[in-house]
Amino acid sequence: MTGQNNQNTIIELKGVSKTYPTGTHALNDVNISIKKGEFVFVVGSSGAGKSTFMKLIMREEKPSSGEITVNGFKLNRLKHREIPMLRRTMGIVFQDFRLIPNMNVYDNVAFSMHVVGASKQQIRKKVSHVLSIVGLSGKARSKPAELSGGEQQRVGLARALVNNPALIIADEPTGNVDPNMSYEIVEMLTEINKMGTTILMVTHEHQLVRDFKRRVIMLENGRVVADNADGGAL
Amino acid sequence: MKLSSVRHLTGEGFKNVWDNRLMSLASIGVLVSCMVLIGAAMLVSFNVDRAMTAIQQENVIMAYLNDYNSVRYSDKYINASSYKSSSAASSAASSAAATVTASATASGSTTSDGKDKSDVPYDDYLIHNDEEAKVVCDELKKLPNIESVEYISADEGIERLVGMINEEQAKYIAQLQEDGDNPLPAAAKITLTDISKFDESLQKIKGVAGVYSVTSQRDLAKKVTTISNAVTTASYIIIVMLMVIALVIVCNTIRVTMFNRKLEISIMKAVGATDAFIRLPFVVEGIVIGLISAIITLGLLYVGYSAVLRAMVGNIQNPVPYSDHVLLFAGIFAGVGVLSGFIGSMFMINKYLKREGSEFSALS
Repeated sequence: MTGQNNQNTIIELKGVSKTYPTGTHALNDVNISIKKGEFVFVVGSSGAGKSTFMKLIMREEKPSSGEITVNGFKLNRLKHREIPMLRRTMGIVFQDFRLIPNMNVYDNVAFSMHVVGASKQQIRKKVSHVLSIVGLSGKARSKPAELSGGEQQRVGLARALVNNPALIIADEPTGNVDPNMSYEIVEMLTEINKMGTTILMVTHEHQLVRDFKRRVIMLENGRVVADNADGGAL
Repeated sequence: MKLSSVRHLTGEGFKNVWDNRLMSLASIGVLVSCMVLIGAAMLVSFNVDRAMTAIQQENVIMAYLNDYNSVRYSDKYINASSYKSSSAASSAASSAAATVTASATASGSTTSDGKDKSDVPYDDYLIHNDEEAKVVCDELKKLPNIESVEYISADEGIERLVGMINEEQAKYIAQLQEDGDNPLPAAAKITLTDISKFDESLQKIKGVAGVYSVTSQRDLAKKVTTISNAVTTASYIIIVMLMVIALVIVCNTIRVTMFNRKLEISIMKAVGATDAFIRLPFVVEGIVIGLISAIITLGLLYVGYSAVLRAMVGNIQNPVPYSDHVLLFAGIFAGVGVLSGFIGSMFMINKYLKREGSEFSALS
């Protein structure tokens, strides 16, 4: 870790801009501060800069200018070998679930724990626990193909949760599930948030954002055009 | 990295080999071909070296004498119209008998005017009979570093020659003998005391009057060694080329595995796997392919070498036993296999790991 920022801030972007080698200006002087334990929706149309924002937080990309601090890691100074340590403090939920088809539900969740070198005993205990949180205890031996879209995303959620991350980044987690299931997924994220985990969720579904009344950051053409505490921007 | 992770990832590496069995088989095939060639080149080289060392250790020099009989034969059948000197004639005779020995038995007749029937001046011959030849041998014995000198007459030489040639050639020799001709010169088989003074002794023997030419196995050894070195160099160039091909094939196998496991790699990166963690199963896969190839090569080479030795029994004297070098081969093959697997996998996976931004976009 390269130093602690403000004790209460988990994500901080100061004057961040990102221009890709192709010349595309994805982000332009973005300033965002997210506190620990917050639930934040990031909305915006296609090309608004949402994906770049997520990639910068994960340190998949480096900013062209500005400073980013995530979980106490100053990403501008982060060395390549330190990136895994940053990522272990966060859980990622993907829009396309990214479940390994030939592994069952249990193994898909356990996979994240193998990566951080957990023992078999720890894995058994923790995986059972998170599967019960997402309501999939009875489907531990099922293969992803045998599950519905909503169930698959719940496995993805369990996998993001299993290493006790301080921050969960959900990239359009409801994009591939039916509307009813979308609410269920966000409710589940809300429950996880209540346990103290910060949630950063990128979404297109404005109705969902309006209904859950959480902080909303709206991006447009690479700039923050609105930042409201209760979804009022929409 | 924790031991449990290493165990888990090693298992994954073995699983990769099986999951991509067709590509693994292709890699193993190419690696085995390369290593069989390496092993064969080494076995040939060991055997040539051994034979050459044995030849070079032989402390025997054959000295061919400038004798009447062979000069007369040469004059009659080879240089009849252009006889100039005894040494020129003797040269032809000596070369005709380069591998055998001869006698100085003066069986030819001479005329009273000091020339033989072929008009060769009688005085041109230094040796006309066994007695004169033995005098030269006595001179040779007086030289330093000489252990023994064995006189071999032309008759004796021709008997030895008949024992070494086929029936047709033997008939020709028999005909010559009936005509009273013998192409072989008298010879002295000289054994040296100290092999390290070989060249010095050779010069001294050449300097003795009555000795026309000298030969030793050492000249043959030098020629064979030169040829064998050229062949070895050429085979090493081919082996290096094959190794490059093998490396490309191993890289390709790893690439297929990586493509198949792209999803897992992207998840691993996203959840915080270190590069070493992601790399290990691929490196294990490369090493397993290399080791399997090494074991197969070791067996194939044993079977092949044994078959060659059986087929060439009698032609190869004192061949190098496979067992003498089995550990060396095992080491080399394991080294080549493991190294190519390791380099191939490291190269491919590092290339992939260096690419940033593959976590979200891995599937696109």
